[in-house]
Amino acid sequence: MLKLKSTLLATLLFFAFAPAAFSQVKEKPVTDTTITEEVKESALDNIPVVSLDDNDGQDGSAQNISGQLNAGRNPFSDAANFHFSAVRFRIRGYDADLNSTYINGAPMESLDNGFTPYGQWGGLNDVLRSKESGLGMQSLKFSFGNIGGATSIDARASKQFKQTKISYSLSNRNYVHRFMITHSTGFNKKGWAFSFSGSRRWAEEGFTDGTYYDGWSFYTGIDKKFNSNHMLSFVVFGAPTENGRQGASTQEMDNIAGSNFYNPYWGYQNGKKRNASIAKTFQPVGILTHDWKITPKTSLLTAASYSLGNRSTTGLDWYNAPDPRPDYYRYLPSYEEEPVLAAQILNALQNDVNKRQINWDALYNANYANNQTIHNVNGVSGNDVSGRRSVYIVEERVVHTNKFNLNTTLNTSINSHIDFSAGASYESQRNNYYKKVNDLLGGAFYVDVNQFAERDYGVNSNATQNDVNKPNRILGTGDKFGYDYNINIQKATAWAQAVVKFSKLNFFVGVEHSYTQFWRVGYTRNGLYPDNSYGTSKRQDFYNYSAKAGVSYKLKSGNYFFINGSYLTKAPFFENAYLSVRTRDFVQGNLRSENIESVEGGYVLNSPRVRFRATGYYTKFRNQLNVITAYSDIDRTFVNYALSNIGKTHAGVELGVDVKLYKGLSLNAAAAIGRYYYDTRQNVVVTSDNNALVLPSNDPTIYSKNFRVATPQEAYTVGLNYRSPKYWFVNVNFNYFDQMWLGFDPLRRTAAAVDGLVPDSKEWRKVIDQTELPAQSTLDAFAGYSWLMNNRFKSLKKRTFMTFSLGVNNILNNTNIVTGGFEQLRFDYQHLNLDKFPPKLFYAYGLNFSANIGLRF
Amino acid sequence: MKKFLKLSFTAVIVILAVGSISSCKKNFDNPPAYVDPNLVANTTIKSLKALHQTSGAFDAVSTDIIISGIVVANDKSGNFYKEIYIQDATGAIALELDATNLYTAYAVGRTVFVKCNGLTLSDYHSFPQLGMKDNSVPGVPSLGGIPSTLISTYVFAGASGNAVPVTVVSNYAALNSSSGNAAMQDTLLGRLIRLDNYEFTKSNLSQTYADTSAYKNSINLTINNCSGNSLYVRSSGYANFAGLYPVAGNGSIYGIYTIYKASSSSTPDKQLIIRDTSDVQMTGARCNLFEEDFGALTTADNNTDFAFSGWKNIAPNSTANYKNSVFGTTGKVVKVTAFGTALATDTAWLITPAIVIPAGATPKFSFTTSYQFALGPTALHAFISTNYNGSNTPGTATWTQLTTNTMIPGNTATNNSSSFSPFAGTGDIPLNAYAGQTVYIAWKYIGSVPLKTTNFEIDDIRITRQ
Repeated sequence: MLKLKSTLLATLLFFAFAPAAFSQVKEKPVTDTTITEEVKESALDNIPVVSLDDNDGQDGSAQNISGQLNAGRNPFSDAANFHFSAVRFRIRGYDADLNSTYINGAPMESLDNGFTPYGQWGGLNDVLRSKESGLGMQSLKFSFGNIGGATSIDARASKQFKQTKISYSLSNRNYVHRFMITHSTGFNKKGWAFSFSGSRRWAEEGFTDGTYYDGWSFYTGIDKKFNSNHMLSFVVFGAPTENGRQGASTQEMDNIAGSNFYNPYWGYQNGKKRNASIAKTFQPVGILTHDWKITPKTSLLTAASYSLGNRSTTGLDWYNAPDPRPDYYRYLPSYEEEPVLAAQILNALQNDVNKRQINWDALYNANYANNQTIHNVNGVSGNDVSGRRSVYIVEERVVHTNKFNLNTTLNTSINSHIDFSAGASYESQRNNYYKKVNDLLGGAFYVDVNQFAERDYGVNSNATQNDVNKPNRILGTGDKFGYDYNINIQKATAWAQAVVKFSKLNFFVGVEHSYTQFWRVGYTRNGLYPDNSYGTSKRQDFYNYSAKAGVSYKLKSGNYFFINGSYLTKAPFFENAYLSVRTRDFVQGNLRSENIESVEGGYVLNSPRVRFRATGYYTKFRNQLNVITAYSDIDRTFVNYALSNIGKTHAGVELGVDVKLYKGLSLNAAAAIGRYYYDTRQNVVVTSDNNALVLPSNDPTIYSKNFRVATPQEAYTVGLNYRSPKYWFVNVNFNYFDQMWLGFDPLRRTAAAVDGLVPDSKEWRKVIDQTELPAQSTLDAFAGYSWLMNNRFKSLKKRTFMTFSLGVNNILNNTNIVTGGFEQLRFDYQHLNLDKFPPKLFYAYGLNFSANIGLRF
Repeated sequence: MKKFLKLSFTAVIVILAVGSISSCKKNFDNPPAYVDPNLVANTTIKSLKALHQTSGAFDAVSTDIIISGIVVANDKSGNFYKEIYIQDATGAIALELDATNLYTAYAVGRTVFVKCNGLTLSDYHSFPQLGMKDNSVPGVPSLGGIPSTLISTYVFAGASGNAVPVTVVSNYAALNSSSGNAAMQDTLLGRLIRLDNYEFTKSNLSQTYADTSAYKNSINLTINNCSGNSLYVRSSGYANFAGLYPVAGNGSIYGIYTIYKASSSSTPDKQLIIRDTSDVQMTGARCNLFEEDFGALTTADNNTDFAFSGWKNIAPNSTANYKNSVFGTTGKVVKVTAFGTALATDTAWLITPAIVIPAGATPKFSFTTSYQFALGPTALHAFISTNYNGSNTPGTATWTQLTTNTMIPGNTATNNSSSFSPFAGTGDIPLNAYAGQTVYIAWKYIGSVPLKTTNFEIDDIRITRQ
């Protein structure tokens, strides 16, 4: 499986990473700036992974929003990645699949959705500091790049500082304690370098009620320098983590609970808080890298990586039983029309925490009392099983991933004017999706059956079986059920780029071709789609290409104008191709690649006193696809909305400035002003999990034009830093966010949704208009001090530092910042009552801090 | 290298130490099963119901009344919806709760306490209910159930697994017959009762418990005992057994006893609502040794040859066969005529399947007939045979005539009227002589063209046990 392809031995001198005048290369950090980075990184590391699923059908796209790890040392990226992260700001409004990340030359993004899985290396900040990155479409040496930018992290053992570091942090965010230890040796005389890092992050309860955190991380790196031309590096790292999650809820429920941080996922069991939704992940990665300096002007970096592991989420599942979720809309006062009763319900919820949270006792007792006999178990006639049949269980939805990559990059200087880069890669990923019984909650068994089909087709129909090959299966703890299928994805890419440099003018041009293929293999024969669920599906394949070019003109050293443009096609992700991937292999009708065209231009000024960057960009997306699955109250089953013809326009301006005012005092400011909106009328095809009929929809057009992409579209920050020559620093920033919009429910913007309403009337607008969230502001402050202990403890042989730092975010404790959420994909067509299914919202933490103490020697 | 290993080893030890202190593994104990809460009932269900005296009124309970009972019925099969029934020694009541899948929390056999202060008593067409409040819209009175979030404020679950109280009603007369408002106080209402020696009517055997179409209507089937006492068995189209057919035996049936009074002046319908089909334990022999009322016929069968399984329908040609006749809203009979057969004489046989008459029985045979276009003297008579072997040549067996012309008026009528006469019964024909034997009954119709072509219809064939 791990194919050791490279047998060429070479060493590339570390300093061959000579910074070209126009690329943003990160210099070796000096001690005190490392503290700042550490403080900032520990904040980013500690922001929760929140999933935005409508909790009924989705697996939850666990997008870790900790952003790029300080992508570039330009004044805009610094601010954007750190000060804007609390509101889940996305640079240029792009989804995370438009940024690429490489570690030691191996591409890290998941082929599922293109996101970079930061969780795979959480807690390993110490060894991931050495990076090179580019924002936007500038030319890069390590990759063809992506329109949002790309980052290459060099985590090889020889790139780590030869030192030992021990640190401890205390905070009140996702986790409370973090203990980290790192040791690196640098090259020894025999050409070996070793590095090791480990960390432990944990919390009994995080910022939000009912969440806990339990994480470990480890990293080991070994380098061997064979001679000045060949170096071989091996790293293996992983971060097994388990944490209790928080869920979004409606404002009504938040008000009843008295807090915007109400978490519906937990409840008391025997006096202890128990969270029903626990996320577990452990996907270690091994990367073998060969660095070959073929000639002083030509180098070849080849990396092979392999990763495997599971990530899973638990949740409650129930069969013919009352909804166990405490914030189910029927349990709330708003469901009751009679005002006296509604007041009584409100009172009952406010006074009893067990009514606001999951009532575990009731779930167990329902299972204790449910004695039942299941007939014809496993399809064997007369095989009856009797006992306590659970009506509530905790299920665990698992994704098991195997991923293999091989990537090689060539860099050469043809002459003093022309640099040429090229690369090729092969990526292969196999995801196995299944769910299993995690806890029977006091019952003796559960049964593998589809209750929605039972209601529609009767108890005895084959349609109710999740697996016709094994009907009426009795499930114990740990048994798989419901669905079991693989998605296989393969991608091969080749690219080439030429950069031409003159004294004032530089330009580059690059092309990339790729071939992507994916297919589904089902291991269960679903009773509703017996001919389309079991076995191997048709393979979908896509040929894609991308071209980019740019010009920059240097005014004088450090100042230049630039303009870059790119046109590409992109294969769809399988999540957006399969209509209802758990039950069948049907794909969207017009499955095709999307088109992206983008252009950016700007001005960069780097002088000793002032660093300034201004960029304008315009990007257009066409023919995108998306599939959303949610539970429909009207049809009382899971419904899939397959959207196509999605088009978006993103345009805006990014400004960043860093000015040294006086001695150690400097001013930083950044602004991101953008307009991101959908510019087509999308098409929708609605199917339900219970049958393959297209649900009646007279006009399947979604009137989505000019709806905003849900991300803050304007963000500003201004701050002051003071860096003292006595090795301490202080920084205060004020941030302001505006034009924040909530994602919209496509079905509410159809002709059917406003049928009968007068166009442009108040009611009509109420249904159609998108929810804008109010503008928000926050205040952050950081301070740190680095103490050279040798001055006091003369006996110390090596330079020993002790560092202290404190970072406080949202000092003003603004608890009204909606960072995200979703309109519920349920709409009350009967009464057109928008308040029946109000949006579910996530809020940013109130005042949160992180205090660090570290020892370095 | 050695130093590195030493340092790494130290690091690992340190981390493990930190880890073991910081690990917070969550092991959750199973919570205990519910026990009876610290409540004592201070009122019987009968006294509680006495607070509601006028049908259609909504009586709020404003004193600290606490009742307690054992759950005897819930919504597990779907036959009940948003209600449970609790029963104590004095009676039972329907508790209206605005939630679904109540069976998970209130299994049959669980003790339940209800704090009634704040609840309301009313009735549904004279059947008492306890719920939250008056939910009526003009013209449609309705008692709303307790909203799901508030249920635990009023209703307290106790220990499960109690013996389920069953009231055996051996005397049909005990099933209420008060009139007016007094009917609501009958102590049998809402109880889980058991009736013995009842059976579903013959025509109900070919009907499902409830309507399985998209409308999912509730249906009343009828059960009766051998003395002719009957009541309805009412089932909802949403029950999981709605599409099943009732069993054909005679025996015991359990169910919740309810009444339904269509309007204030009418007499209440007596109804039994079963929890599920295991409540129907009818495995014995039916009241009648043999019966056929042709209830299984559908409109599509009209004018087709009669062909029930086990029966014989023999005639010289197909025009002369016994035919199915379905007319009006409930008319289901067989008919026979010689008209149109173009034969000089025509003998049409209709023969039952074999009927076993137990030893010592005193069976009585009867049926009804109706006639049209009577041109007399056409002969339709019933016969009995003990040596017929089921062949297609009944003439070879010995047949004894059972009926006389008085019993079948059509044999002598001559009015040639186009309208059918009213159905006339033959009266009881004793078959005591055949006790202990297996017999066949046959109807033989002898007609001839052109003069003996009276149309006959036959219905309600019955052989009682005594």
